[in-house]
Amino acid sequence: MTLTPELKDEMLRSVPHLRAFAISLTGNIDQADDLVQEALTRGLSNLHRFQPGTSIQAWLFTILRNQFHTHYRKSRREVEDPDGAMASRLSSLPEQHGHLDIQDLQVALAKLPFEQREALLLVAAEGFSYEEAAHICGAQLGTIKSRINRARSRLAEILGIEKAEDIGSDRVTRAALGTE
Amino acid sequence: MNDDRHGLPQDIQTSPQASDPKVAPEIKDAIGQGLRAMYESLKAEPLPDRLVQLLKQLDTQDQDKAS
Repeated sequence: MTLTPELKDEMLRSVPHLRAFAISLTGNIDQADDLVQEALTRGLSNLHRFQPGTSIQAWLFTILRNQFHTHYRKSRREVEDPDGAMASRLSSLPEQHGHLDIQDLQVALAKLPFEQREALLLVAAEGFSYEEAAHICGAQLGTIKSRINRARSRLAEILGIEKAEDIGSDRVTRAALGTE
Repeated sequence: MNDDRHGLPQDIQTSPQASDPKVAPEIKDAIGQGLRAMYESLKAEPLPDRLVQLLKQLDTQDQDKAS
């Protein structure tokens, strides 16, 4: 497999996605940039192993995720300084979105076990299907679903929004529930 | 597609458990929206120099091959 212009474009388009995933995963920008750089370099030198017709973005995510497991995870189980390190260096994080404070969410995310965090990010933030996330994480589909479910539940617990009333039941929500 | 099931330890081959916590749909939505908002703003962050350089190399490499 050679680097066709199409493949190169898809690779370039993947970079912001890979970086957002890496930053959310590690909570450390330098580490995230190392991961993205390594994933791209490894992807390029292993291009012969890429299966044409499949998503190069998913393939690069797999490489990045495996790099993280191999090199970083053992020494840093928990995100370092989740309150300060990242927030102080990112210019554009919104403070509030809907019912949630984004920085609170970020801090809560950092408290999740790693396997839950990666599964939740891949599906709920990046928009991969459960099947794609299972493939990227090398796990069974049921395992991924279970991890995501537990991740949501734990986040809700940390953020203190365990019941629907905790986020206020606005008109849209009530309408969606058919209680209006 | 299923070759990734090889060599997995037994304990991570579990299916969703009946004991898995239930999360209300509103909470699920709120978390999902929050995560996407966080993620979108991260995607919009400018790339650091070293990644920009790497991408430039990728472009040049491609042109070299084509010429």
